[in-house]
Amino acid sequence: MALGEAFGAVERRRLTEAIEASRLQTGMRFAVYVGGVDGDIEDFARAELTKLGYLGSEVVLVAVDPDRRALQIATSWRARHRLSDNACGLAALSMTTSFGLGDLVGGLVVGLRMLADATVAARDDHGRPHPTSSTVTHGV
Amino acid sequence: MVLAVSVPAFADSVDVNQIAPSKPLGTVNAILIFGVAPVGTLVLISLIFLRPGSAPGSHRYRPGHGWHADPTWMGVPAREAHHEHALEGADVLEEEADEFTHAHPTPAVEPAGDEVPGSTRRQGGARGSW
Repeated sequence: MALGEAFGAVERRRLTEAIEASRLQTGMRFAVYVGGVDGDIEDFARAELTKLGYLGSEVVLVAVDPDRRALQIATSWRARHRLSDNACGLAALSMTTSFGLGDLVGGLVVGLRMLADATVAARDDHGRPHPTSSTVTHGV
Repeated sequence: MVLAVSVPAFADSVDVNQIAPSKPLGTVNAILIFGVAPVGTLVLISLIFLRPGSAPGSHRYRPGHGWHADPTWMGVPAREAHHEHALEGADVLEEEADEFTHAHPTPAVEPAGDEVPGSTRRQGGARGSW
């Protein structure tokens, strides 16, 4: 039986805009999953991230299980070179703070922005900034 | 405001004796008009706004109250495409991971995010709870 949409039209638009803005800023692909997870959320996120490889080599997945109050940010191995685990940890902290106050969408939007801001600009083999990326590094 | 001030001026032009006496309101009609109608209106309005899924943000997350909504993916073009290209995507990531391994030998001590065996090696990220 369908439980119903998780987000309303306005909330969905906010999330879509945040995901798109992060993609345009970094050149990486961001995906968000909100829902129940069987088993450990980290295993789930890593398995799903592998399946999202068709989006590109630089993929970031934010998985949220509101029922179990669990969040997992997973970065593909190539995205990890531009987005450190420490930066992900800071974004996770910000998101969980908002989630604890009941602001699921707001936490995701701010978290995505933090992840995009913390992403280091892509560089080619010669160390020059990649033309597809317009990231401003904040030195996390 | 203007009408309220001017209404008493019309009082003299109306002959009170010509006004037919109104029929007294019956008990049933009185109950219907002053009882059932207001209560029914209130119930109707309450149902509209309290019914699950009717008001915007009705699925608003409340910590400790569970989450009763369908799983949602965003940033993924289509869930069908997700399944269709899943295997292909896994192969791409595996191939690129192998290329990187040849170019950058694995350090003796790997970060915590590298401990997952199989295709998820060298993935990164962080977790949190609230």
